[in-house]
Amino acid sequence: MANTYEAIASTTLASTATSITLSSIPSTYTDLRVVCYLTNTLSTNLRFTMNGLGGTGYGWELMSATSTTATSANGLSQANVTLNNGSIVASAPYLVTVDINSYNTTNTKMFLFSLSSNGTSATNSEVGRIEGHNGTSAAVSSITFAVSTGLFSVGSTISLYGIKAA
Amino acid sequence: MAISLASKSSILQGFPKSRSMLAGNSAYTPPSFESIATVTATGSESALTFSSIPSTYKHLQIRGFIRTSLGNGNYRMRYNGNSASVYSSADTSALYNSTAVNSGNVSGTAFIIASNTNAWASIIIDIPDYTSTTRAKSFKALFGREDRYISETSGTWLPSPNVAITSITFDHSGGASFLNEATFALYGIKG
Repeated sequence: MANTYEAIASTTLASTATSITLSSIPSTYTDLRVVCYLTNTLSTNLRFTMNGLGGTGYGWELMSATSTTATSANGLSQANVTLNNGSIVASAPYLVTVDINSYNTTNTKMFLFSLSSNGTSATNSEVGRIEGHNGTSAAVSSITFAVSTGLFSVGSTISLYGIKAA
Repeated sequence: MAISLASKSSILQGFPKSRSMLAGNSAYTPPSFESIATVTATGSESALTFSSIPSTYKHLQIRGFIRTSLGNGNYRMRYNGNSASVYSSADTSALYNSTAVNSGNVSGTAFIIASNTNAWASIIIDIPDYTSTTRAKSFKALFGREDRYISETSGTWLPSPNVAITSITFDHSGGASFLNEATFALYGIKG
């Protein structure tokens, strides 16, 4: 039986950068999965966009928790999807997975994020689940992660996988 | 035109024989994540079912992209057609205009996850060890809806005795149909 979970691309930063983009995503899969291991030079917020789209096309809902607080937040008519609630701590690793089901249809694009931000103490670590979406009819052909301040550190890695249904 | 003498030994030297089919080729790695089946709605199906699920995998994953026309009610999942009150689940969720909440249920369905009118939703369900006949079946599901709703649910199926999961059915508590292009894809993961 054919393998249905395939590595498409991976990038690891050799120098610091304000954003990381995976482009030319093939349209031959059913779903996409992105796995990220990131660090940042300054405390920051992490943002996600697709196909270079900004404007007001994104909405998102976030629920997250630190060692002391569980909370939720949301955005409507946004220029990106924000993936954290508290600020991500400088130099601390944070992990993100993104599942993009049916990325190649003309329907709304849905993004399911899991975020684990590992700070220097329990109170500045964060675990979150985020729903993001964009109503564009275009297939997802590129994805970009960006930080609000500082830079992605050297060694930050993003890997993209394709999942193909029968 | 020069004519060279070809013999069996000279041919074998040029094309050495090996008893291994892998000689000179890349190593073959069997796939461990395989597509089993996909069910897609045309707009009239009130239930979508995976039946005759093979027992040859260790775990299952279901990836869905779904919507209905009904705002009042919940998406539901059942195993093997069992609707007895032998399921328990707990979830945490957040909607755009409220803080995160949690709830628990013991009912005749593995989960109840809220729908909204015509809102697309994405869901990923993991069901480990689905063939066990000695342990209860557990699952976890991450669900997001485009009107800014997120939930994570885990649950257990506790029939007596424990049996392997051979079919999985999705429907809606209000009897609503899945709208056109709503789809669930079932994958098997080998262990």
